Amino acid sequence: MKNHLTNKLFIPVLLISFLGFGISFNPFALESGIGPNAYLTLIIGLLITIIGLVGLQRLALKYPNQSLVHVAVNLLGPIGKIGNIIFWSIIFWFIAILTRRITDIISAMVLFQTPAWIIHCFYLLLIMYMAMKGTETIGRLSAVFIILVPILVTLLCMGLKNVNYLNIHPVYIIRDLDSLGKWRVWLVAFAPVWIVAFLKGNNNLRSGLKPILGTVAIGTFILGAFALVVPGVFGPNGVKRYEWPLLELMGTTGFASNYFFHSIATSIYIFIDLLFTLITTAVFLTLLLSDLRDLFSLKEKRSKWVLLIITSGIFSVITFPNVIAFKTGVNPLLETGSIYIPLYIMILWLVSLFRKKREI
Amino acid sequence: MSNQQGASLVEKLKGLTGNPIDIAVRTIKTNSGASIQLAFLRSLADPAPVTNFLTKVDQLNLSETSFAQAGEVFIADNDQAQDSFIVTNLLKGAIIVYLASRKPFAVMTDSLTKRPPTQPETERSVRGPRDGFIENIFDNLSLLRRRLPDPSLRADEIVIGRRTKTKIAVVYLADVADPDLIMEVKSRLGKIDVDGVWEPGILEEYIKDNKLTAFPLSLITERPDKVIGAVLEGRAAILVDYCPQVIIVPNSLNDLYRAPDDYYFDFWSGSLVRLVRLIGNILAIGLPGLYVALIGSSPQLLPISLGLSVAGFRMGIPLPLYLEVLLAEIMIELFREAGLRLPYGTNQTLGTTIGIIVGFALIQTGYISTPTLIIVGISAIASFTAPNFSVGLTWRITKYLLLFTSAILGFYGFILGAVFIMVHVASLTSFGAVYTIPWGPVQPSGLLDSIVRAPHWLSLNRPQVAKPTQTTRGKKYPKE
Repeated sequence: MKNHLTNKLFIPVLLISFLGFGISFNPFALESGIGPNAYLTLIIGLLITIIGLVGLQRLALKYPNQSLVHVAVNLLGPIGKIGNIIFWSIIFWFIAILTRRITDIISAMVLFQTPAWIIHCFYLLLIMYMAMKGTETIGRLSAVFIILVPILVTLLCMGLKNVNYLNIHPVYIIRDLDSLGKWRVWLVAFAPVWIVAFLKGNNNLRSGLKPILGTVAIGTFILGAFALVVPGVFGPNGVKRYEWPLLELMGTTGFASNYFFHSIATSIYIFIDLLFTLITTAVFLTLLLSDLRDLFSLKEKRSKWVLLIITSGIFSVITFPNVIAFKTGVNPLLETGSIYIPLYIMILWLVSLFRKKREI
Repeated sequence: MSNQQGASLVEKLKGLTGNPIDIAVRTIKTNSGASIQLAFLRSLADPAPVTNFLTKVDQLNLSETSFAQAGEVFIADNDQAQDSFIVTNLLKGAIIVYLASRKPFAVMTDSLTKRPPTQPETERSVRGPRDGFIENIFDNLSLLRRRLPDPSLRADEIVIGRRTKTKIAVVYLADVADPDLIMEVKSRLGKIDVDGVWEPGILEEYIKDNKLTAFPLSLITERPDKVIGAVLEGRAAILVDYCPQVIIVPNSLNDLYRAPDDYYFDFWSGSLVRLVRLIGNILAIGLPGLYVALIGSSPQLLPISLGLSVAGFRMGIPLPLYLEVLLAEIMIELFREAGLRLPYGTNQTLGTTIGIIVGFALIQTGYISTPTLIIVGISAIASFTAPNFSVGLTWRITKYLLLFTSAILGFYGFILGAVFIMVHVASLTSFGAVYTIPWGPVQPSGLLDSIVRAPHWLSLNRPQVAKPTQTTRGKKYPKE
């Protein structure tokens, strides 16, 4: 398992995780939770994340070569241990929700008659394999597939021609400013940024924030465009009429009235969405695994068993639909998690300001 | 040496060498009445240069040095056992000379059968040199040295094989190649302890980073120009005696579709040819799997007219699509393998005729539909766009993997299969070099020579695959 992430590998991981998570949840969660001007909240989310990244950098500089697990225990003692357990639980649920989200799309769009557990099983086997290979391999994979980001943006741009600008007319901004008070969904899209920053082997936070901030800004711009196009096409709360984001996008990919191209665009979208989600879940799983390895000081062979246990847990959770209500637009677990992680990191940062550096 | 002594010598040599069928001892009478014995293996050595020499020279003052005119002379070291010296040199193809009152010595004549350095069959090119490596390691080195008469060109010898004692040469540019790479290559080669190595493929399996991967972690070539290009990029070439193939390490995925021709055409044509090859490789790997995925289980993702058209052709086909494709693929594989084994002259005619007859019969009987045959045919021909035969084999393996995943899970399986392959590729290294360079991590100087071929005057930096110590190739070409 190789876990050395250079800047050239970390940036693609960050962008793809950000987009993979964001495309799956953000425009739709925001739109159904806030309204057609939800894209405006991304600016607030971006600002909070930038401040958070500065805090993360300070923590990384103060406690070099230490994972979040160690930093938290070092700073908060037993409370840090509890904080870590909650942090890992959130990552676990994020993997589960994300997996369920994409496999539901596959069930709806690609494999109507295949039992869901088979779709889950193969998906989890693949992310398990990716996690076993380590963050460096995932980084290289992300760097290779970064080429798909412009293709995704092109697909998005093709949807612009179907946008009814009256649906997102500035006149609604003032009316919808009240809905900006729904702060719980501000940070949904940015959760991966906070999580990926703590990947094992990532020393890029120390070397400089500029490329990271640039990447986050590009990601925010793309997600903002998504959050603009979807309500622009379907109208205020129109997204609720459609169960799957993919179906919504299908309506936006007509090109020169050519159905042939439309099918290709849909297939490409499925490919990109699935690939980005695979990478995102694999990154989360790798982080969870490396933290648990550090905690229990496990050797590589034994950590494979831990990986198997985590993956089996995710499989159980997503295969029995009553465990989590996956189909809600704004999943409560998603909201809670996306607020908890920044809050936890901010607390750690603040506490670190009052504490002298102490080695564990 | 008398006849009696000659007979005893034959007996002695038979004893030393295990009485082989080709052992021969020839006695040559000199003008002074003395006789010289020449011992050799008929299968390896030709005594003609030595006997011709003996007829021309004054035989009264013969010594070891006199025989230098007939060939390279080897004399046993003081501490070397004489029997061991004789046997070793006999087996190398030398002629053992017994002069009166002197220790026997060996004369190596250049008499082994050689073929001319013709164009390699599996790596043909439209432009560029037509010579290829042959079986003799020194001739192969000469092909390299003539192209690269640089004092930094090193050819370090390693002998591998307890019994075969095969000469291996590690060729590199001392001031360009990364010393760690060269040390690693020699170290891995040095660890091989087997009775025989006679082909680079055997070495390749021992020295590659990941022993189980189907992807080539080193390049095999028969073209000297390709080796020169690689050496100039800071890579190492491994030459094996008695074999025309040379191993180049390290390599990356990017190298699997680059061919020497690309660099001989102008950069527009070179880029076009490379792009075509890349598309060909993608089709060879993915087309059958994608066909099974989309037609077989996810037709809703196809345009309606296309889906209906293919469905129309498949009416009445008794086999499920994946079996139909598999059957067609197996037919192609059989033709391909039989074409290689059939006697030259009949292979083309027979292959084409049987191919047409069987293909026509399969369609007529309704076991395989026309679209399936088209897809499998395109994929088969596309697999030959790989610049190297062994790369084509890798594409075939990955094609079957994608076919399998597509048969099980349709388009979803196709994507998972493709990602699985890419994860595997991303985890690979070749002698420590990342296999996905220059795309992952992105390396601008390498990108210039990836999907398209950058102009030579723009490619001032060497690719970073081998981490060369000299990163630049030369100076910028001045503008007029």
